[in-house]
Amino acid sequence: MFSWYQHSTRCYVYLSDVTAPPRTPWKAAFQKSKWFTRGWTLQELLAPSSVEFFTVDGDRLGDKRTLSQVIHQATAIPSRALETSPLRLSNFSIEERMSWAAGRETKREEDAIYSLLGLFDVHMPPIYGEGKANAFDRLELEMQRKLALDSSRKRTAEEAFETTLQEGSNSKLKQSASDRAQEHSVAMQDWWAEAMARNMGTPRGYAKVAVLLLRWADELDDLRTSVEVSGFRFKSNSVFLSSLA
Amino acid sequence: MVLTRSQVRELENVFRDRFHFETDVAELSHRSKPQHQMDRVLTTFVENHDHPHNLLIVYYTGHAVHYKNAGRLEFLPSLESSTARGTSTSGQINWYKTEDYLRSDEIDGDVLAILDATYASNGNTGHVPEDVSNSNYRDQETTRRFQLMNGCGQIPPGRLSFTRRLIDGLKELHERTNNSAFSTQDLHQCIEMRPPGTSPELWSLLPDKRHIPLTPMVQLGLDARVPQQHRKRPGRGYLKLGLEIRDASLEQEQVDYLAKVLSRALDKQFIGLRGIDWLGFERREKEFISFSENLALKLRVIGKWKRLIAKRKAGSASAVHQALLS
Repeated sequence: MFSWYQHSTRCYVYLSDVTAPPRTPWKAAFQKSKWFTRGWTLQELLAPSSVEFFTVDGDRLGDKRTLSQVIHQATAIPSRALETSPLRLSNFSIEERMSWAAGRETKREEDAIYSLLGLFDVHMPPIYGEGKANAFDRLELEMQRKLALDSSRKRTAEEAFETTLQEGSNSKLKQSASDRAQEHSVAMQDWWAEAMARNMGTPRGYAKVAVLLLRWADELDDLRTSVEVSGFRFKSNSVFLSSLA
Repeated sequence: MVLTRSQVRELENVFRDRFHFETDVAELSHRSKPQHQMDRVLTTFVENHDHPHNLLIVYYTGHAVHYKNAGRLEFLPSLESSTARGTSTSGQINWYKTEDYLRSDEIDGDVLAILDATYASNGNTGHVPEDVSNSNYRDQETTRRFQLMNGCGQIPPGRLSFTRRLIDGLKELHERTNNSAFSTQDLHQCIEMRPPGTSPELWSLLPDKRHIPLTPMVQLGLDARVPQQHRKRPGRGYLKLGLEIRDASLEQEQVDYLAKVLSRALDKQFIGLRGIDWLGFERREKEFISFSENLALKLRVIGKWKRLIAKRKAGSASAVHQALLS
């Protein structure tokens, strides 16, 4: 659907709840229009290069470029997303795009997620009845896969490793003091076990160690792409889900 | 696929030939319900090897997908087919189910899971009340350990894969420690030091966060001395002593010294000492801070009170003065 809108020359929007004729104060009615609160209309607003708005009587209010400020106030979508055509989604972060969708309503709960597919340029079949949480999981997974594919085209493995290493060390710095204290407690316990084993002549180990190695008899693909993507997570996906509710 | 197979074989050889661990390789097939296979393989493994003084190591290589909101970590042979199927429950393995089983009290031994796959914790680490976890007052002989080590992300089998680095790390530590013990923490650090690659992660999935020791088994044929195991039956008495320490923690040298002094000073035959356990180290920083804060507060209140009294005195003095004047 997103690509249909994307390839359209012009998109006309008739707002059934905006009746005021032009040049009278119609802005408030325009901003409060249901059209800006529904899920599927988001792609109708963003994808086409030209979107023209009309009142229920057919009076033209303007297009998304001339009305970008008014729309921005109503939807929090930055005006540069409305003014540039064609819209380059990659210029906007995933979280930013997510925020545009927050609070929009759909008849079926899964649609809150399905209506976002185009926005993230991913494809997946709808399974009505799976629920929003499952749909969101699938969307997240699809996005991870896409990111993995994109980045494997763009970046070398070495670069990916470097970033992951850096991320790793950063997160270590963030470790709280209580974590360090906890770690030291464990270390002291380990030292004790080691020293006691040495001094009392008891072995530090197990009576028996058994190893079970599991692997797939028939791995279907060797395309193991998601290298640095494992670190990719929505920071606030529960918040996002609840905001969609 | 071929690489995975040969790497798994190599890892098995390291465990079997160098460490003299008992090894089993199980192949999962996606053609018939993998969860059932997993359950069966694992139950058999536990049945054959589980004992309070044993360590069970479960290694997995393959794909893993985390469905955070649905609370599932699925093991599957391919990422390709996963999305089309959605989060169906029949075609894949839910690792959390396995993890819960390994964590449960059905298991007597310690467990080390090693995953060459993405891993995310479900946050279920066997919750204990905070005061208990802080003081660590537990009998070491009765608490179990369950640790999990995983490589980050999915790196194709080969020079950089987690399994490759695990094999090299195990070999290196085996040579370096000369057949004596090293811990999962040593292994974790050793793998981390092997560039290039992503940092592996080490998780403790039970309240007992001590690291698991990996010690090569003594072969019976070569060395007639069967290693004397930890106390086989718990002693009939358990004495708890408390040591008050100046600082909030001890360094390794100090711990070593303490262990040496305590174990040597006691005549084992006379007292019948079976062992000395580390029950926990209690930090008293909090109490100290609150005490000093309390003190500061008291001093401030006293100061205010003194000033108030002085004012009143001055006030009444001036009142008296005024009364005298009028």
